[in-house]
Amino acid sequence: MPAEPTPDPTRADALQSLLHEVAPVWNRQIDWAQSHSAEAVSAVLHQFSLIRDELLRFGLPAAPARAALDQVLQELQYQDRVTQMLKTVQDDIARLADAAQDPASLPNSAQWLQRLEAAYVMHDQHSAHRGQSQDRNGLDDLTEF
Amino acid sequence: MAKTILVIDDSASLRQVVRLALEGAGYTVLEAGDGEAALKLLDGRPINMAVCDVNMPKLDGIGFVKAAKQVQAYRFMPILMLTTESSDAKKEAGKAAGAKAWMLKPFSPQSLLAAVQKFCP
Repeated sequence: MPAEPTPDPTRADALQSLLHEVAPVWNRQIDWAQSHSAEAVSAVLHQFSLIRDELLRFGLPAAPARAALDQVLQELQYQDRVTQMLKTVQDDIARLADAAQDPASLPNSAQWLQRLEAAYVMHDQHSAHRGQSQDRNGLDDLTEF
Repeated sequence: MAKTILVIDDSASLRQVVRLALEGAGYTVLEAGDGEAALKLLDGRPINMAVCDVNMPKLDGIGFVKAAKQVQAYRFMPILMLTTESSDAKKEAGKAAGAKAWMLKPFSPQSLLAAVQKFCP
């Protein structure tokens, strides 16, 4: 059985230093994207509520129009899902930066990915992890206790 | 008199969506950004039902349900968990804590309204 490769201390230091510098930039990029998309969605929702109120002043819209309004409200919730997915990735970047401090005890990729997958809360995250297409069935599923 | 629904979610946009869905049907909506802030609102004011996210900072949704059940005036308040969390273990934890139902996001406003009307007609 081949011996485990010994980490090259020079390269390990370089990787550690690189991650120390780069990980915060990744984080800032993700934070910026999340913050601005949240603000944009909030502004859209505000405008949407004004338009809807105006429509309702003239009476209840016809069924197709009501369905379209509901669809808008449902689609706008995807920003929240994206935020949650990015947060998990952000946490994993931080974990990588921490792990790089001690390259000798780095887990293998299978262990790393197993722990990442254990942090998922949504079907979408599992699908994305495995490179599968997103399944949008079963949404707004209600379970009564 | 309009029924009051307490909406607990750390996402402001999600709270806005729930508010839009419920206010259109005549409900009054109170908002809290996490379980801890929501508990502070259980101060004797009339709240007929709570719609609660699961993963939140400070105090999560399951923690909120457990704590709310300890507050005498609100122990029978129905609580609907509204979450992206789809694991069966979490659902079981919600049930054990005393939640009435579990709905996955993203939800259609009509489905949410139907669920709220069921527990809080």
